[in-house]
Amino acid sequence: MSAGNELPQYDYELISTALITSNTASITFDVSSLATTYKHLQVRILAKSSTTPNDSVDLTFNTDTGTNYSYHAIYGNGGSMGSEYATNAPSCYSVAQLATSSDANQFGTSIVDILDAFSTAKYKTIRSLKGSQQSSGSLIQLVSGNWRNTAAITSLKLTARSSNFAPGSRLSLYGLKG
Amino acid sequence: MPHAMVALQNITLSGAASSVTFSNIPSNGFKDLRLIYVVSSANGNQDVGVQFNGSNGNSYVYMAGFGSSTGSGNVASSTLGFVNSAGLINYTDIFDYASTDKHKSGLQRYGSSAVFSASSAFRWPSNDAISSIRIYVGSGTFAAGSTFTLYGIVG
Repeated sequence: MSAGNELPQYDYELISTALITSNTASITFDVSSLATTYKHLQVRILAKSSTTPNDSVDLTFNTDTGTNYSYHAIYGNGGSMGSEYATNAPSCYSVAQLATSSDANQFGTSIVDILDAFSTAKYKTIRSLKGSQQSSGSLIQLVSGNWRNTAAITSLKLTARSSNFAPGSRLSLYGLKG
Repeated sequence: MPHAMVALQNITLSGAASSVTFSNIPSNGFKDLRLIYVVSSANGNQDVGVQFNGSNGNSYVYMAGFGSSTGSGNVASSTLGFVNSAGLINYTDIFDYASTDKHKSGLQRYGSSAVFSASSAFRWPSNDAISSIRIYVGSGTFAAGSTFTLYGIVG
């Protein structure tokens, strides 16, 4: 057995963190200055809903709320698996998970990747892995989505669909060089 | 900007071992942990267990594909994976691991060649900060050459 810290580091950097201290409907990250520095973006989310039941988080780019998004997901709820989708949607649906307020100290977890975020030649593609294992229920879900626009992303907005982000939630934005 | 993900400890087995333990995990400087292990079993198909601070209290929900079939289940035990002699790769993300006001939760992606591919969400029902992680095989040993790496992620 050997141990050490000799592994190479990634070009993976923290850009901004939103720590939620009061009920908050949405978080917007301004990424307009990042196009020359990073290739991809990632958001890590630990989140809880302000209400019951569980809730999810929708993602929009550049303040566009037109029906320019698509979404597809597969999920398991501990008993069965299923899939769902939406086309011509006003956001990338359900990219992150909010645990219900009734399960004390329990949070949903999500990792959202936004690929080639600053390309001006491609529609933008996202994927996320999200889930929660709570006293009142459980979910694991793999999501893909796109925004049918070739503009570089200048902002991304994460909105709790039917509630608020509760205190204790955290959303951290990272950049990956490429 | 500094790198957001830093390798904290790396373990490569030079001989078969029934478990490995990452101890003295720092309580500050990072928000999340990522554990990556690439292992094979010296004893055929086996469950892999993960303990935080020596506790067996983890539970998880998974979805998986097994060849041409799929399934989802809840598992209330300490096991978080499955390994066979062909090997297993597992990415485990642990959020807010040093907090003292939250249960510890996270996500996993894992698979074993030609056997299954899976994702899961898990929770350890404790507000304690995680200071050690033990990864063990249910019966028998991990084979020599198995690797385990723990990263800290700032947040």
